[in-house]
Amino acid sequence: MSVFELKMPKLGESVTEGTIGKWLKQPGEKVEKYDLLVEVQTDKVNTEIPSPVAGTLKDVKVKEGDTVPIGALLATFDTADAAEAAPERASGAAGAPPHPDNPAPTPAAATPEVPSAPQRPAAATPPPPQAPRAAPAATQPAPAPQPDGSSSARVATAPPSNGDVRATPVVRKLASEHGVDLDRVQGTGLNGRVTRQDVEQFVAQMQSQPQPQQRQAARPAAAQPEMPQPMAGDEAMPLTQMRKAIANAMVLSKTTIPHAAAMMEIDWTHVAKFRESVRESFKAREGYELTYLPFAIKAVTIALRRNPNVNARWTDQGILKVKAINLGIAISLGDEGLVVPVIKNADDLSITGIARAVRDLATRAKTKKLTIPDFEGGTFTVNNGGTLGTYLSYPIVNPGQAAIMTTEAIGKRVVALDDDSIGIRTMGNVVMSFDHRVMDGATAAAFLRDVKAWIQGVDPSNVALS
Amino acid sequence: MTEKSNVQAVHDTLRDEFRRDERVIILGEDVGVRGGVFRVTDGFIEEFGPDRVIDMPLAESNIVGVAIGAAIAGLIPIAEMQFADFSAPAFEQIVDEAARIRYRSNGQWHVPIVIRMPWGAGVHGALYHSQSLEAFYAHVPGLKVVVPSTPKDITGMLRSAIRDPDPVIFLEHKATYRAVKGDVPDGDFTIPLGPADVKREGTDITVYAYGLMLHRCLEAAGMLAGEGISVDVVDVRSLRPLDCTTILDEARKTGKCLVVYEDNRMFGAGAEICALIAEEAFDSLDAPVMRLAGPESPATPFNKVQEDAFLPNADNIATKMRELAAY
Repeated sequence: MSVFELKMPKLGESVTEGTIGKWLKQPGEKVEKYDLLVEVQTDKVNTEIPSPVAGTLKDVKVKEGDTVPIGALLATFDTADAAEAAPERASGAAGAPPHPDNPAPTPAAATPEVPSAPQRPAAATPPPPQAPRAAPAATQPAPAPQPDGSSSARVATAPPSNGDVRATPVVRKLASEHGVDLDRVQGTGLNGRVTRQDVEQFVAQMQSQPQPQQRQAARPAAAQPEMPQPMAGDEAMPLTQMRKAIANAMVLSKTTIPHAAAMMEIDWTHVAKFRESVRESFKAREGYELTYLPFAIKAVTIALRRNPNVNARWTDQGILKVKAINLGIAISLGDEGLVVPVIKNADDLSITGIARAVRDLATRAKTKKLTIPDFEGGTFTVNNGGTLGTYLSYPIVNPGQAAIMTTEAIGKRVVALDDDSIGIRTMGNVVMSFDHRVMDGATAAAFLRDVKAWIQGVDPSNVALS
Repeated sequence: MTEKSNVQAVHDTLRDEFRRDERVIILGEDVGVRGGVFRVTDGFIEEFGPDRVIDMPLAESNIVGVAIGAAIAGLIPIAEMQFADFSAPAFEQIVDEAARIRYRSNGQWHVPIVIRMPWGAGVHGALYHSQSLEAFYAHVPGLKVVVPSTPKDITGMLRSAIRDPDPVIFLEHKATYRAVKGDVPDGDFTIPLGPADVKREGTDITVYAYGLMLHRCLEAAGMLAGEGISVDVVDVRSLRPLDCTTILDEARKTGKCLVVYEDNRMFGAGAEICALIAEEAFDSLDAPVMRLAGPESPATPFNKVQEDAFLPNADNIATKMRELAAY
């Protein structure tokens, strides 16, 4: 019998904390390896942590709804056999095949950081030195052995130990006094060393802001540290990780990117006819309807190729034109929020390939199966607000990109045609918001003209589905 | 307030003390008829007579030994080593006798002497006229060792030294004798032997120095001010007693410390300052305690190029300061 300690895994780059959702196993319950233990919400993904060991869940250390830093102790296990966990560590985790019934939801959740706590006899020895980075309380005096674990409630709130960070004595002392995680401080000293002044500035910055644990960008409510007194019947809604992440990104974008917008009206009649002509065969083959969105995305990839200045990002050192065309696709999750996973190298895909990619992302978004890599590398974002019925919207550029395009509601309208007759056409607007530092209106318009030309030029003879 | 050079300050203070107290005498080579090789006692033999201004043979152990005897007998002797380098023959008298008589006699006897020594390099003085000996004497309990280097500090501290009941090694950096000038308050003020003095307030790094190096550090600090680096300069004008409080306060202020001295780096007086900071201010340090000092050379070279290379100067002090500030 050994004790295994489950710590909050690092679920992705720049993820520093997670909120515990539902515990899927209860203390005393038998757990098989890879059984899903607990739901965790971060600002990027929601996931479940699979058990790295087989055994019995002994103590749950963090209750539902609590937010804890990476490395915080989540639970302890009695493991049936010390050998049980060892192969998992050796297998290198990321490539370890998950249990077929319970696929590990994120690659990160299976990295060696999770199960790395050494196996040891239960109560025969005092607590061993904890794995440095994973132990927020490593520099605290080691508590006496506490079989009931009652001392470990402190773990989640103890100041970060900075155990394996190299720092000068004064930096270490200041960091410990103010509970500063030195990993989060930008160093300006020799070789990026964190200096005393760096810590002092960081602390001053923390103290001038009401929620020290929030990241810099999350300041929409900085001037309003407390929620206003609710009136009778009002409901105060605590921020979810997703809500916070959206707020951070939107504030960062709106406060740093000078937005401008351009709208163009597009005749989708050819696309509508084309869709109609392949509707049955597509549905029979793929199992779902072919929508307008894959056509819009295809048009965007082609227009981005022709207008590389749009597939770019602003940096203070210069504009970075990005070669890869990775399209973020905004997927609404209703009132809960929205996510923007990325189709990598979207320009490589056919219309069918795009349709499959969109469906895959949407399905996984709704079932909370998206992983950190699904969110990385976006270069341009496509938003499909039209399905919700909007005729004009004004999207916000995703930070790190130069533009976002939204397709508005598509429907039949009476239109004056080129031959001066009046016809009924399938019309819809596209709106693009763009970073005016990166491009000007002429570039944006040229891009939209290319989008428009491709969409209006669709016909069965020159567009292949796959 | 009167502007004086360092050597003028020594001269005037000695003269005032001679006038103030008839027990004050001076013994040394060429202090009488010649008026001192640096003109420190110019006019003394004429004003105070050969009984108080005594030309001595070339035997430093004799100069100090006679001074010790005269002090015990009730006089207040000032023994002048013509150059600090020449004090080696007097080392036994200074360390074994002067420093220990109070201790040896259980406080019944004491030796109120001042041993003045022009010291240091930078005047093209080569092997026998350039040495730093402060570390030898600062090592010995029973002695006071002071190294003031401004006219005001020299005036106030020389008065304190002469009025002190125990032996004081009073080191005067000869390269600052005429090069350094400054205002001296009028009147009979004194500066206690011990306290260090912050000669320049700064916030980024703290630099400790004394003697000629103090002035070169101040010059370098001025250069760095233009680069946005704020340098705190502490004049460690007394090595024994050492003002640990001020040294540590200033170290804690910036967390980055540099000690500059022209003596050989290894086992120099600055090493003691470094050790003090490392032991007592460890929690406040934001960089290794650094030193800039003379190289491992048996003596100061005569050749000007080599002498310049031997001594820290404002340029390489500034370079070291930048290194520390950037750490």
